[in-house]
Amino acid sequence: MYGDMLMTLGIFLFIGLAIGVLIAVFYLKNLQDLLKECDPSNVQMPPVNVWLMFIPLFNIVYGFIMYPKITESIRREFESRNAPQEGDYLKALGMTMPILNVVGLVPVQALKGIVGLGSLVVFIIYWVKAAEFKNKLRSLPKADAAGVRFSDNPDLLD
Amino acid sequence: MLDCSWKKTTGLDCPGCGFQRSFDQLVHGNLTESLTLFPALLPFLFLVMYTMLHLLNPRKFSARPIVVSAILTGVLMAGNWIYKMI
Repeated sequence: MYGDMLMTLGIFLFIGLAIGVLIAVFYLKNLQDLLKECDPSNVQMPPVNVWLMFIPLFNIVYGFIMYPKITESIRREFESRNAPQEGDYLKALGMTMPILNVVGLVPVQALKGIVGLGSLVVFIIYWVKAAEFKNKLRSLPKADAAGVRFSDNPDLLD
Repeated sequence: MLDCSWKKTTGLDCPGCGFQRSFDQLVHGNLTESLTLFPALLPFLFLVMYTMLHLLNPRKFSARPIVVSAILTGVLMAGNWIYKMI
């Protein structure tokens, strides 16, 4: 009876973990696609490096490196397309996540609950905003090598 | 050592349970005991150290060993976890 309960719980945990991994895959794929939208001259890290966030423990440190680089990449990309955006290009949100991850290591159960909830909220907001930036970049015309935006208006072309 | 929130809540091991004890055994030179507690420890340590080298010098240290060791670590972690659950 007790063994059956544990087995059921184990299966639920396994399914939960698999769903968690799947969500992480979609989240990181979104970040990779966002960086792929940036010109190689503006991008501050290879887009494929976002997958390093899958490495346990290492991702706690790497978050402090990756998120500022994403911010800097999209800031440069928007500016090179002469379309600067309002706000800090996810800088504050991006730094909040690794900070919350570190705070979550403090072995106080009550704190872990609050931090976990906060992390989830920040994670969702970051994901949504990153997707918005990605879609904005897709809709904007690309800049040429000199950072000049190509015109869409045929009347202005020679 | 840090407590595992997962184990505290559910009473069951998480996929990373045994990591700290395994590392402790490795530091004390008990390789067999270390591998028994958490078989993925060595590929995981290699993965972390190699990834740092790759980030410092991507030309010299290619990304392929990262992919291989990450897959090996994941498979060993999942396999060990399922084995412990059964």
